[in-house]
Amino acid sequence: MKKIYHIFGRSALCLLLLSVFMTSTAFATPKEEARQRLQNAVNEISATLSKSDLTNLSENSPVINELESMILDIFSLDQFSMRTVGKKWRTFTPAQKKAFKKSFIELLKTTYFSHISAYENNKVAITGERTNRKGDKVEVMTTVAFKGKNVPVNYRMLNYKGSWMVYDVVVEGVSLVKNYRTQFKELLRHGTPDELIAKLQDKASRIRKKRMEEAKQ
Amino acid sequence: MRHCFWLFAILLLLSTQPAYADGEIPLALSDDAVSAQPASGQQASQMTTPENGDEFFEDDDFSDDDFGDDGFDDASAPARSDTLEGWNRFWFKVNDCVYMDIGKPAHAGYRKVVPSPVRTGISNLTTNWFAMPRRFVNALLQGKFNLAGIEFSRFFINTTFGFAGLLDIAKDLKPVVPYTGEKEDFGQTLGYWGVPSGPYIVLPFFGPSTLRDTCGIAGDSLLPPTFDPLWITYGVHFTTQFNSLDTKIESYEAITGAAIEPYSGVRDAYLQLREAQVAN
Repeated sequence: MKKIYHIFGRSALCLLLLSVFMTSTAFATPKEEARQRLQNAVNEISATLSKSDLTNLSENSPVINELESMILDIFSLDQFSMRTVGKKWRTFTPAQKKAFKKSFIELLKTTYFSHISAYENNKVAITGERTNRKGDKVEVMTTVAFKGKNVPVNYRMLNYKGSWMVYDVVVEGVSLVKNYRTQFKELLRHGTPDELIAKLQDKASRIRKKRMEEAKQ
Repeated sequence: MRHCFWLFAILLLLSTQPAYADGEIPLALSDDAVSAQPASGQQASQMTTPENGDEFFEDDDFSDDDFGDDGFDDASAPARSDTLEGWNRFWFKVNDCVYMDIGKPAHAGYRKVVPSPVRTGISNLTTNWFAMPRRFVNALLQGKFNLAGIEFSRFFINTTFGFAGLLDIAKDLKPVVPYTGEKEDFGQTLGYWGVPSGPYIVLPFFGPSTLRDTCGIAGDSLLPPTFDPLWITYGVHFTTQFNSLDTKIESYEAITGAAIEPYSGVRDAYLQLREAQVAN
């Protein structure tokens, strides 16, 4: 009887060790997870870009919508909006937050969708990653081949609602979040959230109008 | 003095010797603007800055809870003083007109007359004779001997085999030492040695700058080569700037395009960019 216990105990120990070993390999480090998430998103997006027809794009083209949903799958608009507004985000009502996010993504979409037609199989290479001291954020460094140059683009990511999401993009050392925060801070010092939202919408419509005029010429 | 120069040159070339080991043509480096090594496993991870060691996004003003009280409202502001805001906003507007209403159409016309290979040639020539000395000297002043070696060997190769710099031959040669693609200037050198950036200044026509970077431009302009009637030097510099105006306008538009406050958007982008360049 004692012997059976002994065998049982030993195999239990083995199982325990095995499971510890397996979990440690199954759960990758934050750095690896974040990198993998970004790599997958990059692969997916470049696959879509290279198989689609990128001429005569409009804001409502199916490709653009497809890309938008892919981007919003890795890019956290919640985190981005919150961080660009800063402390004052707390004073926004839920309705204002929603309106802000909606008009912000509209502005980004209107500004950047036309750049998509310039896509020419630009290679994205992941060059490394690092974490902050606490280990809850990861910065994945990449370079994007653009017009014969390698432009450094870093993606700052954090674990949001269970998956690694991008909350800031740093192009050549310039953080998008910081840049918008500087602009919004100035507006919010004297203005209200509603005015800020109106400004975002106004800018988007001005870009659209300008583009229409250029198309006519 | 001359002997010292050659001694120096030889020492620099010698420092790049190990690169010959694999039998491929070494020397200098890729593109003028390559900014980081393409990923190749180990090398890439070695190159990234020490982990957890430096500030990086801790200074992003966000602590545990997302609006931690580590004040991202004003704590980060003092360095970003804008004491000359009146002047700056005025010249920002003027410059905006100059770039968008004069520069952009003028360059569109220029592109029609001057074909792309000629423009590239002009750009290569001026880079070789004006930018390389500046980058070389400033890399030395910051103790970045590898980078200085790269700049020197690029200059050497392009001057000898590239028709005095008309062709950028060195671009296609393999890297000898990890090249960060930095373009050093005297403003960065001053920053490297601890000179604070000072107030933000929008220079007429030149665009965003700071007090330190303006001194940097003045310092760099003392470097050779200069031509005897000084206006030729200015003419050459003007041509250099105008020749590549399209790329400058492109990045300007990339910042202002999605900005709702173009003035502060450009100011912040400039200050962030320079901070990153100095830290590099």
